Formats: sequence, structure tokens, C-alpha cells
Amino acid sequence: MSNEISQNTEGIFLVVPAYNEERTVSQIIECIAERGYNVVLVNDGSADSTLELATESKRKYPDKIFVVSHVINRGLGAALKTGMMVALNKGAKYIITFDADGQHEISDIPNVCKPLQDGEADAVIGSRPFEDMPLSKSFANLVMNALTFIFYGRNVKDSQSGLRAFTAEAAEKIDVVSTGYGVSSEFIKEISDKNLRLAEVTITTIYTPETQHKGTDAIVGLKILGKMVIDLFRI
Amino acid sequence: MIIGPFRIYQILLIIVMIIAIIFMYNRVRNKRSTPATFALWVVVWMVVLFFAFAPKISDPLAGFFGFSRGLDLLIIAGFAVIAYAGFRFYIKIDNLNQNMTDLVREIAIRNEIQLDEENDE
Repeated sequence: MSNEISQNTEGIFLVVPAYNEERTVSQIIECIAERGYNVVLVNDGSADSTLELATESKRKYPDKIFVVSHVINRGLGAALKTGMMVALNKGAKYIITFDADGQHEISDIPNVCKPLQDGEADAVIGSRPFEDMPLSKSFANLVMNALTFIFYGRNVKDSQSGLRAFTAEAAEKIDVVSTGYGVSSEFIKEISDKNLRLAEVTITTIYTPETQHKGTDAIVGLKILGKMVIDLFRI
Repeated sequence: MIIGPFRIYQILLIIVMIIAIIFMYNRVRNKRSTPATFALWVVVWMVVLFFAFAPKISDPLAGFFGFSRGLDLLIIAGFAVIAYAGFRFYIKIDNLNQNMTDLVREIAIRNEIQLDEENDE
């Protein structure tokens, strides 16, 4: 998180869902706010001091950091949707989803925003190079890419990436209902169903014990597959 | 096993039916269910009892569906009902889950953390 990149940050809102992220949350949202971006931190019913720390960070950047809190844990998808709604209410032009566990580089934000600002895309997915991933993760993500293609008919480089960007118009059209990690594939489905122009940008991913602990592994992958099958029969 | 004029499964069915009907009756009294739902369940139980006490009558019906014995038809029908109930429960729980998420979201958005309010407390 070092490269200082100048960019017009007006109207750019980063939605950061956080569940028990007390070790990283302050640093991440303060770093983002320091660069001039707006941050919507969604505390998803954390049992640790994530909410208190986020509130402390808001004291330092009251006009840049916005904090909302789910009273109980509702999952990644639910937190992202809440954050996107808050960002839209605050007049966001561009909305970027950003993980709170420290796996994303802040210097990638201008890169994922550029296709939107240039009018080349309505939605952007930051693709993590699979060769940088630990083997178990890259395999699980390959399987998820295949499943996303089979179920939703869209082939993307990294269907499970947490770094995505949308124009406000695209964000208003996207309606995700998955509450858990299945939301990543559902974003692809919505992008496809709503005929949004998609761009994929290669991003850097930082692998630490914290970032490896969460995300898509075999168990999460199986849960997402189950959800995809059930969604086929959703009335 | 036969006890008096009844087979044991027939006695068990009567006991389960009485418990289920009392349970439904209480739900209607407490306004948790409608009298129409109560009537529907009574009819369902009467049909089940009818076939339990006169299994031979179900044989022609079983033949119509391609089963050789009435009992086979009842067992398969029972499994189908249970599978359907499971599916209905899944949909209901999923809807409840979604409603809960909507509620939690609404509360979160209405109560966005405000520094001024905190200072007043």
C-alpha cells in the first residue's frame, strides 16, 4: 500500500465489509480516506472491536469515512449490498468493493476505476493472477470460474475477486440476494443479465495468514455450488 | 402385532392423529392458524386413517398408478409429501432469512454512526 497515485477521487466510494477485522480495519480505511476516497465501512455484526475502531477512524476523517453496522452477522453479500446502498444514497458516482482483511493494494483503486471513468465499462473486476495464489486457493478459484461459467454463462478470469468497481448506474441495476461468499458469482450473473459492459483489470494481491484464512477454499466452494443449484429452483 | 381388533400401527396412528389434532386445535384457539387449515388437517388425517383401517380399498388405486400393493402407494405418497414439505420449509426459511437481512440492513442504514450523537451521550 505504498504507491502514491494521483487521481480525481471525487464521487468514488469504497465499500468495505468487515467481520471481525480489528487487526486491519483501522489501517485500511484510514489509508483509503487519506488518499481522498470516501469509505463506507459496513460492520457485519463483528464480535470484536471492529465497530469501535472504525468509529475512532471516523473521528479522524469525519467527512470521508461513513460507518454503518449490522446488529447481527448477515454475511459478505448482505454487507456489500448495504454498503452499496449507503454509497448510492450519498451520491456516489463510482462504487468499489474492497476487502477489509488487507489483501488488496490501495494503489490498484485507480486502475479498476479507470475503465469506468473513461466510459469503457459499467463494471470492472480486479483479477488476481492465479499463479500468485497458494495452490489450494488457485484450484478452488479455477473450479469456481468453471461453475460460474456453467451456471451463469459468463467466462471471467477471477469470478471470486473481492475488488470490483461499478458506475452508480450499474450499481443501481445490480440486485444481489446471496448473503454469503456466493455473492461473488452472483455479481457476475447480474452483470451478464443486466447487459453491463465488463472490464477485467489485473490487480495485486497480498497473501498473509489473515487473508488466506478467509475467502474461497474447498468447503466454501462446495457451499457456493449448493447455493447455485438451489437458486436454479428459486421461485 | 395385533392388540384386540387393531393392529399396532393402527393404534399408533390414532395416537399421533389425536396429538396432531389437539396441537392444531390449540393453534386455532390461539389464532396462530385459521379454522380452514384445521379443517384441512382433519380431512387429511381422516383419509390416512381410512386407508390404515381399510388397506384393501387402496389396492385398485395402487393398480391405477402401477403399484401392486396399496401399502407401496401409501409409502411412496408419504415420501413425496415429506419431500414436498421439506422443499416448502426451505423456501419459507429462505424467505425469512431474506426478510431478516432486509430488516438488519434497514436498521443499519437508519442508524449510521454519527459522531455528534455519540458525544451527546
